[in-house]
Amino acid sequence: MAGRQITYLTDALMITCIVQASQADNVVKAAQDVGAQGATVTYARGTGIRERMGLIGVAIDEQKEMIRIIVSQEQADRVFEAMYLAGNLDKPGMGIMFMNDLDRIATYIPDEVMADAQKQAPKKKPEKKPEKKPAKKRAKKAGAKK
Amino acid sequence: MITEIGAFLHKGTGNKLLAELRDDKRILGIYVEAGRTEDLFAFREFGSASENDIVTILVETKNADKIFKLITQKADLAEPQSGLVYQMPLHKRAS
Repeated sequence: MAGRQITYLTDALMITCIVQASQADNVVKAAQDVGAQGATVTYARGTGIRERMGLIGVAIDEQKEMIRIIVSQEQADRVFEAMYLAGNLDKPGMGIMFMNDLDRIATYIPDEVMADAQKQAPKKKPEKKPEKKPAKKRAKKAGAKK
Repeated sequence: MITEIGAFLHKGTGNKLLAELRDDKRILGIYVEAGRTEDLFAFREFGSASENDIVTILVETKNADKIFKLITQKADLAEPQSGLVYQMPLHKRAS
């Protein structure tokens, strides 16, 4: 592994959204429209809300789709809101979503992207070394005669 | 404290990783799911998406760094289109 280097990305969040089957594509498209790169979707089975809603619960699909999207901190709220609205999560039984902080991410980063990021990184000001104050001239000896 | 390490990898890689790590004493749990992804890989199977594996690994936080590095090496993330690994703190554990 000599000569290889892993670049860690930080300040990222993972948005997880669970919606009824076949709704994921709409939600992912809404996320992409506001800047998300893409998403990973898996199938799952949900329970709870269907039972609580009684007869109306029949209208809720037991089969769910679970969407995971990793976003930067700056775009997190925007993507979250877009997904919420696209998934109609303000209606009962439509799904749930949440967001987690990530400690770090590792993935392939193209050289040109790395170079750009390094250019944009704020340059650190060189630390000023504390100037040595010139030693105070010794006060004339008290009582010294000219 | 425990930490979740997750990985979005090529289809088939998840089960290989599971087989390699299942006897590692530092790992509390390892799970593999199958899904589809839109942005990780250039290879497309279903219109705009391709199949992938999602691996979830639970470890003690003190071991997280080593396991994270191990996963990134096994996933060969230095190459493009190879996937993504993330680390996330968890609050409680019970087993």
